[in-house]
Amino acid sequence: MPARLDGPPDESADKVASLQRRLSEAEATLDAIRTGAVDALVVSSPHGDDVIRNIMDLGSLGDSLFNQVAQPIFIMDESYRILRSNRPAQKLCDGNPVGSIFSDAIRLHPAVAEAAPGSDDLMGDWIRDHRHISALDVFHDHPITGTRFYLLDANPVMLSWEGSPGGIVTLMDITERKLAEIRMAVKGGQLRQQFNLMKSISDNIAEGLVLFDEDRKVIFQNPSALRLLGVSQPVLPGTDLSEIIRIESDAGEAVMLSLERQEVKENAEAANQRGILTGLDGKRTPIQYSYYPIKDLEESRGSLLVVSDISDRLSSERQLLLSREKQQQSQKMEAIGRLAGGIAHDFNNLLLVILGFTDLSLIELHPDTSLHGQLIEVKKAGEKAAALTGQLLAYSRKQVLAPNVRQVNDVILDLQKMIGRLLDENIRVQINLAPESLSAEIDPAKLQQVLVNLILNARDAMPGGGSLWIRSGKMEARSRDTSGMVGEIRKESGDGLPPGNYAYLEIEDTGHGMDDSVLERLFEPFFTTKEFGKGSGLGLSTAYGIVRQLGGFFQVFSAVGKGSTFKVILPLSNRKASPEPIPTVAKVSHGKGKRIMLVEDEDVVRKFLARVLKDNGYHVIEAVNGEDALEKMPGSDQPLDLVVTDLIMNGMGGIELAGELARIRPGMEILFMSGYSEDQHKLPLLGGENPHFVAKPFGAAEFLAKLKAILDRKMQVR
Amino acid sequence: MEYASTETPAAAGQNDDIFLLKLYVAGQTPRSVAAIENLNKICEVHLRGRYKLEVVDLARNPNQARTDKILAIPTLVRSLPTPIMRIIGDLSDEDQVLMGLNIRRL
Repeated sequence: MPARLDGPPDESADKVASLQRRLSEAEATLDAIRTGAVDALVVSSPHGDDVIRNIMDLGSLGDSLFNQVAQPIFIMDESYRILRSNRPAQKLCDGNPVGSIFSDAIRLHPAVAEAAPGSDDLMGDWIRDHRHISALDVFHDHPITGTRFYLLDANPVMLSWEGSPGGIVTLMDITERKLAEIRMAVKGGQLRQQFNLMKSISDNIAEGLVLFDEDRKVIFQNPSALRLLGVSQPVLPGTDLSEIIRIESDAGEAVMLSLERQEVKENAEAANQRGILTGLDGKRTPIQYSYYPIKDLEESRGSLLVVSDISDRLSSERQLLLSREKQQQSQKMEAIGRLAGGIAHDFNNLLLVILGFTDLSLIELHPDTSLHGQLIEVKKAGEKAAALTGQLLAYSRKQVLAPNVRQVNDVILDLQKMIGRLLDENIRVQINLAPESLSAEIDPAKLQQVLVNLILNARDAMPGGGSLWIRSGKMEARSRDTSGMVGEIRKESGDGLPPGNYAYLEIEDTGHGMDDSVLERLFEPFFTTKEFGKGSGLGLSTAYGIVRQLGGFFQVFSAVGKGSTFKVILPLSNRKASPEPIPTVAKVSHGKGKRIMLVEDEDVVRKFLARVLKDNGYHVIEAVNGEDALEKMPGSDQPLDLVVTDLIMNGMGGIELAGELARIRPGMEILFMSGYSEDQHKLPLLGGENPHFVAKPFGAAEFLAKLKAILDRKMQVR
Repeated sequence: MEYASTETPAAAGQNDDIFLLKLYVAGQTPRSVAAIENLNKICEVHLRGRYKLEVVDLARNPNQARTDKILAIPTLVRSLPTPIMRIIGDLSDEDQVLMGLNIRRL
């Protein structure tokens, strides 16, 4: 039992003890108030009620206010131990956090990463540093309510009831605002990202883009557009479309960009037009452009012009066209060549027989007889037929040429006498020859044929008279020159004259000239502007064939009413011109018993040639092909002077025969015959020399002359 | 009213007196909260089975302060055994509490 209750039941003693107890209680109460051991005092209200007056100035009334504040509030001592928290704070902490350390009770994270790198450093020692933290962006992850964002306000205060420093932390929920901001930021970021993407596209594409508003004023343009428009500075927004865009159609008409038409046709017409854009710097660029209406451009209607430079595309298209033409041309030439070569063999053999026997008959007939006259006509017709075959072969470049390095000027000089006879008196001829030597690999006779052809055309172009210039000269092609390459020439040599040194022969007239459609077809075989029957249409195509076969080119310059200039261009040769062979008068002389083996599979041809040879005193051994010839080869006691052989025969051909002869009869002279020039190139070199060759058809006189030349030379060598 | 009590009187106690205790608090103030915790602990250790504790929240019923003439909060009142004794504060000093309630240390 407590000692103080053990005393005698003395009333006054009890009273004293009670008073003493009350006094000590009062002292203890005061002491507790003074030392801060109490939170609140019970005081009387003016109405006589007892009220609790909280020492923290938050009595019961304050407490309920404190709890009614929507923002979480934490009051803490200077070691951040939570002294008080309101209901929203407790809700946030899932319980009463009083007594725990603030940063343990609620884990807050910085919402702005840069503000504080780690959550531990979020606020620092703000109470002891006496630092007021205002509107710190934080968020809190709650397992149920999720992430919420707050503005944190931390205020170091002196806790009067504690008599020590402390702090008050309030959190203002800004989640809705923050989310809205984030949504805005994301949207803004996306817009910026989209803008940057669009900008990098428009900056890097080769197509020029120009955006106009509904009044056709410039809003935007990309760098490629500036380049095409020929301006160095960006076009000021507001510049009118017509001030900067000048487009012409391919036909040269100014193009008005209009949307009305396109709207009707739903943009179909707007896309991929071609034209020429003239930049503000005057530069003209071939372009492909599209003009589109733009809807919903800041609620107005604008338009977009897309322009691309198609210079490269055009040039490659042109190249493609040229190469296609070239291919077609070469296929055409090949076909004609094959046809011409094919018929030449048989046709020339026939002509040889016709002309040969006509010759022989003429010799036998007295010139006074009517038959003689008729045979002369047969011979003329045969010669014409031979000429036509020759032209066809010339055009297909399969005729037999005898190119040699010659002086180009000599060809003209040789022609000079004839020119006067070709032209009428009302045509004045002027010849200007290059002073220097112009050596080129040419067949003078064929080149003369070309010149005569050109001169005759010039004459026909000047029925009322005029002037004709014949010039020669030297020219140098530096880059590939395509000037004057018309029609067939362009199809074949569209990429121009290869760089190099050339000799040229030029025929210029003051005639009626030619329009483009004529120029285009000028060198086509059988194309003629002359009346029916006056021209075969083979003249120029033959000339062109010859020139090409000599490795040369043609250039033609003409316009209606302005005359024409034809330029024959031949590659200059470095080799020295060989002297003109002294023409030997082919005196038809007899063979004086010379022994000749004649190898030919065509009976008529062989019989004709045998007849010619025998008539002229030769001894002839006939053979139908190579095998036959080798069989009939006489022994060494009867040596042969010459073997005359056709190239292509049934059985062993001429070349094989030559090979055999080189083995068994070394040094044997052989004369090859053929109607097909390609064959000439297949001939073997005999003893390091060019083989003897005679092109069919030939007349008896030509044949005998050739024979004699070979045999005479053989004599000299011996 | 909030009560924290043990229902079974302890038979093995040296002292058979039942302690009737009333703790006056005012809401969730730090010292009130601390006082409740501290008192519960002390009672469970030293008065196990022989005490009745009533927690009176004056924030809700301010007029109850009058019964025991409460001046400050938190205040612990020992109604039984007599005489009535009071201890003011958060009861964090166990020795002082035991002495003030006249409880012998176990």
